[in-house]
Amino acid sequence: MSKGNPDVLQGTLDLLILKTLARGPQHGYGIACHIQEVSDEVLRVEEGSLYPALHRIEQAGWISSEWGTSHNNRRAKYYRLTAVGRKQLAREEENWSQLTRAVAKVLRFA
Amino acid sequence: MSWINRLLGSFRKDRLEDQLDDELQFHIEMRTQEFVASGMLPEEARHKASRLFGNQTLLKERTREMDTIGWIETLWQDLRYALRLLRKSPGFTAVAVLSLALGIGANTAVFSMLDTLLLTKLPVRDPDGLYQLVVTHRSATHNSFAYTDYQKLRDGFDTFDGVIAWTTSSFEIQINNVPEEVRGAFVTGAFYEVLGVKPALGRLFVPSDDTVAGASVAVLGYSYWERTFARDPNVIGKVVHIEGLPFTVIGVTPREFAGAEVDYPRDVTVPVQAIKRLQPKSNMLESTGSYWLRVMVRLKPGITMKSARPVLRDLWPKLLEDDGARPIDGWTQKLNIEPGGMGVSGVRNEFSEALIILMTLVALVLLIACANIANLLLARATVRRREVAVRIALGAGRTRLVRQWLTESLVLASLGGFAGVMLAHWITQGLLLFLPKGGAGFLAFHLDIRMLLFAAALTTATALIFGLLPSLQVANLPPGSAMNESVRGSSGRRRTLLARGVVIAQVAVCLVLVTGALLFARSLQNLARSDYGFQREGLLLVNANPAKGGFKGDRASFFYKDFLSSLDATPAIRSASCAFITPLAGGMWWDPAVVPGYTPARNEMTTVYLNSVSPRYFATMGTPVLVGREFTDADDRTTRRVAIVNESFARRFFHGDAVGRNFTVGDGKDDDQDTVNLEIVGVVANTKYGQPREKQKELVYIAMYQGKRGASGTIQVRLAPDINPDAASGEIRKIAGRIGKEVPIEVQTYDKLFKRVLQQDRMVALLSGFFGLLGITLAFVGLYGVMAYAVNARTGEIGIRMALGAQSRTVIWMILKDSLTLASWGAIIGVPVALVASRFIASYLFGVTPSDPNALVLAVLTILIVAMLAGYLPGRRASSLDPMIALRSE
Repeated sequence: MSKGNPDVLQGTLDLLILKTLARGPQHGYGIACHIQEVSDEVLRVEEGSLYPALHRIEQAGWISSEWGTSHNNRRAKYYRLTAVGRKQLAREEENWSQLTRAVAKVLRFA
Repeated sequence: MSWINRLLGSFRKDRLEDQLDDELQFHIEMRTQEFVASGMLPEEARHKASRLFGNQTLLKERTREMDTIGWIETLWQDLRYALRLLRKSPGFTAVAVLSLALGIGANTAVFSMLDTLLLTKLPVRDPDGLYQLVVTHRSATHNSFAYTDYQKLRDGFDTFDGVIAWTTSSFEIQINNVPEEVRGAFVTGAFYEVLGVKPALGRLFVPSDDTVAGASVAVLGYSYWERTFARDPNVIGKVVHIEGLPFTVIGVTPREFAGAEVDYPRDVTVPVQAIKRLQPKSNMLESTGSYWLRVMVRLKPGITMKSARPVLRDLWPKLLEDDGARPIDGWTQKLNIEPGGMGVSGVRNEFSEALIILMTLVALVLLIACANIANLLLARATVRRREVAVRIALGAGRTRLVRQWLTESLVLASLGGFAGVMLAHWITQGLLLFLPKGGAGFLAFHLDIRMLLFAAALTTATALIFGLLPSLQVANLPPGSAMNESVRGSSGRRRTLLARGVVIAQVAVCLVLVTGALLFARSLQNLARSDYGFQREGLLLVNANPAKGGFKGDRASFFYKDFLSSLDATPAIRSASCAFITPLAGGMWWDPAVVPGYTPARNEMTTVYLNSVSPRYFATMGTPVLVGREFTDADDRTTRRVAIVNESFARRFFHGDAVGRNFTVGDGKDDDQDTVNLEIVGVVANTKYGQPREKQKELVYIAMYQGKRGASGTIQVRLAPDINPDAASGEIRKIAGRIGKEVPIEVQTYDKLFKRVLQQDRMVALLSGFFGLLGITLAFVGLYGVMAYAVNARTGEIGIRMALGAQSRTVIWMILKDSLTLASWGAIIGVPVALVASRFIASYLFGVTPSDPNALVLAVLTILIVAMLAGYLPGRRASSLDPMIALRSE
């Protein structure tokens, strides 16, 4: 998700991050891998976008972070969805499905 | 709160940076493992993992931006950078901070005085709804009323929602048998209620306290309570003795309220009716002719000051008519109303104009000081051109550079402002030395939020004034230019032009300052030397209080007669006399004259000013009797009433031929009045009456021993030649002691009184002289700096000239001419400004016009001499350069 309309894509990236974190705390690398895996390698999150987005979302209060130990015993920064973030996720999911429904309608009509 | 996090983040950048590094490092390692697992060589895997991040620095910066607030981070950087730079040049920093501290300190100090004097409201309920009543007559205003007047105002007007009156008086108060002189006041019963002042302790007066029966209660001022009773709450109910009589303390006023007279914070108040107890024989409460109370009112809802005025004007004379004939000095003039929310202050009336002038002076000095700092910064900007050019070449934004330079100015100004606020207290103390002692204590420096805001605003303004030019110059530097030394000439000339402009402006402001100082000095000199119609040297003034020594009523006249004749018989004294009003001391007594045969034009006022004087008054004062005679001891109540008039009076009403003519002063309703049907027996030379600046008044003197009032007032003593005033005053005391042992006596020279009369003028002259000198010094430093820089920049050129045979005189003249040119431009701009500015102080000048050519020429000459000095020193250095060394310098 590199080029294109940054507004839409940024919102989309936020949604993907929040959704991923809804499963439980995860570090940046884990988030990137999860999105890639689940989307069958269709969506590749670029490192250059991921970290600024994580820090921005954290400042917005949707996620919080803490240092923990990864499964291979390394120090890693884990992000966790906050209560505010959970509400935001619901809102964004709703927005997203509205958007896709709308796009689908347009495509069908044409 | 995300912005708080980001704000904090802005100050914890290093830690954030480390954490981000760790976070990204982990990501890279995980990817590397992933790639190795898929069969890559470790080295290659690590490389590929890193590359995924693209430009890592950019990524880090973008990520960090999310955690911080950008401008705070740069501000923080700029601040530290500025402080480092200032530390690196301690000389420059010290000079700049010190001059700013003095400038901002002086401005803050004077502003705090102005604030107290002109902007501070009384700490009472709705101060804007308070009005002071005054009686106006022509342009003169007074604010004293009789108690009967107060009663009429209270009962006779529907306009007022509340009327209060008070007077101040010093009390001798005894607590545990220790007598102490304190500041007291008599107030009417509703005083505190109408003002809306709530007690700090106990209760304050109510109208029922203000009755002859109830007037044995007292209210203490907060600071007095603190000082004498250590804030003991048990003071309520305690009995204190005021002038020997017991009063019960019922309450304490709040800390912030110390009376409606702001320069007389009082310690104790008692009800007005208490005056009956303290002075049983006085008729202060019944007399319609003793004016001793100040009156303030609140207006009924819906009534404004403007709508109240006609009511007061029309109703007042009708109410006064009930009194029948007014006494001789009846103030039967227009009753008027003025805003009273700031309370009453003699110091305000007298000194606010002087303080406004002072404020202007210190502002000008600060402006001149700013110009110097601007020039120093411009010079530094040139020195740092290389640094700036490097930064521009490396891609620094211009706004960012301007911001950084302005931050530097702001840091400098803030240091100066901070030190200035510290200094303001001491500067105020210094200025207070010029004001009357005791009365001006309330003007002491007070540090509050308003003062801090003023100082902060001033600091920012100065930073912009001296910082904007240098920083804009930095921003306009063409990239790469400064890297190349050969183009130095062009930008050097630019900076020189700017610096020259600044110096020209500085000289112009300085010229205004110096012109003002010269005009004030000239005025003071004129005031001190002017002839007011009498001789001030060798004149003593004696104030006696015969009533306190047991000479009451008519017996006071006996005391004066005895005293005067004993004084006359003393060899050291040439003559002595007594007068109700001492010239220039400020006392006034006026009424319209009715002259048979003189019909005034419509709307013409025939107001004349009166004095009641004893025999030999004119001989004592040294005022020539032009026609006729002085009063003699024979002019007493048994003979017909006589008067002496001054030249102006004789000329206006009798075309000069006045002796033997009759006239009346006042309404003349009562044949018995002292000023009715007077026969003129003499004409004396004109003298000034109330103050030095007044227009010549028509004066009438009546014979003191003919008046019903009897003898009272101040005694004048003319010393024989070569008599020491101190020795004479000892002798005068001795004589007074022989006649009435208990009579308190005060002796002072007329010169001492005259000094007090000129106090404000002296203050303005001295301070403007001081600030003028300061301005000149600063302008000299500014000019010198620019000239010295010019010599430096032209070293090569001077070397060539000298190598080609130029005389050192020529070189000196070259620099001198340059400096004089700058000063001349400054003068050309400054003279018209000074001419306009001096018009604002016209009312303040005496015997000199605002456009006085002498002052202007002298000011311009001063500036030119300063310019010559500022040019000569660098010029001489230039002329002593070795041509060879000078040539090599390029």
